[in-house]
Amino acid sequence: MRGPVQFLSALSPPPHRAAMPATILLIENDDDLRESLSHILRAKGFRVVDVADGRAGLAAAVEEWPDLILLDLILTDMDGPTVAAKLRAEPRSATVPIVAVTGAADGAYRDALAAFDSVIEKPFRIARLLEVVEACLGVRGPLEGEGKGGGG
Amino acid sequence: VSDVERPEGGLGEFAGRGELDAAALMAREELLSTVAHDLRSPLGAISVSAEMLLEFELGDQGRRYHLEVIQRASARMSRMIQDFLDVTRLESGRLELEVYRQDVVPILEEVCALLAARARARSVGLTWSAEPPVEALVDRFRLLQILENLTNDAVRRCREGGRVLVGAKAIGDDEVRISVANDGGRMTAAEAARVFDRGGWSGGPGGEARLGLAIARGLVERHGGRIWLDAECSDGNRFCVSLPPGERVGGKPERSRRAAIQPVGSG
Repeated sequence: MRGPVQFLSALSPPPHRAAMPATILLIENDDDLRESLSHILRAKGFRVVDVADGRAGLAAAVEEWPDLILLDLILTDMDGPTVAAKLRAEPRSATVPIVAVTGAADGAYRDALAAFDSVIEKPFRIARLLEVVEACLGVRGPLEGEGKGGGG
Repeated sequence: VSDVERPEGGLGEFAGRGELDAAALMAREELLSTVAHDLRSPLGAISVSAEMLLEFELGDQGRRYHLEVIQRASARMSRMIQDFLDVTRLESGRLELEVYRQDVVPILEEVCALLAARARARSVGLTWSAEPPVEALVDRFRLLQILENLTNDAVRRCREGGRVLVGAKAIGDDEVRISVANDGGRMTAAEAARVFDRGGWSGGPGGEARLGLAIARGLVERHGGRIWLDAECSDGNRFCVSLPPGERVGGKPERSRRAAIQPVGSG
């Protein structure tokens, strides 16, 4: 998908982005949950891009300049850790905080969770979701540098 | 009709089986953790909707939406639990069938009716084709479940606007072949190799479809049949099921061969 040459300009959001609300990319397999979460986050003033699978998520991560990515761990086309690794390898999303939203935190994915900036375990309270979202968006920006998971 | 499905003995059943080897235990644990994960997605949807209903001022439309989410998610959870029980019963060899020789064409018709709405929602044309009668030695309810799971998967993978065709025919005197074919959405070789395995992410959305194909395989094998994915089918996927036709006996239903397919583990 990526072109062979990456210009510096390709790594910074377009200038008008500064005036816009933060964009949250929601990659969630469950239709009902995805729709409810988008609704709640939009009501809180965020711009939300929601998709159901990994491929659409990776495309949206390049096209939509998300400030935060909420990622379900088990998707139809690939699993969450694979999506996260690809997001980290893509320059445009390499430093975007990724939060795992999952019902599998105590299962096979326990070790993989270390690569995420935060984890929200299903089922969760709405307050918990908003707390994590705001905490993650709070640390974004040029001064960031101590966040976990920034490496390739 | 007394022996359709004997109720099983809850926890005692697990406690009494000390002979499960390590691999079987590990597989069971994996399945449990998959199912736990799967259940938490609709549970998460229910929890969010309940919180919305309790703590936010919603209009009529919003209230209705969240109540519908709760209803849908509960139905999905219930289906997942049933699937989980079927998988464990199939694996321990305790799932019982009541088979007799019967025409399978009405079952094809019923599957298409059951999934018509879902197919329409995806603009997929779902039809069946067979020349009745096509008689096989099957458990009616379980064959319906097999075909529903296969057709559901075929519809889901089918390209929008594509077609899904369910067909049945007798091949000579000793085989009945049922197929479920779609166009578009052909699986990769890696996907195809794992398509009937439970767990992992190869199957589909939610837990339903992921256990669905494993259940289909288990049920077909329980019937003494075979199931496979047709590699010759060039533009889509074709599931094939081969079932025994059974003995042609004058009107008298053939009883289950339960004795022949009981697990041997207890002896």
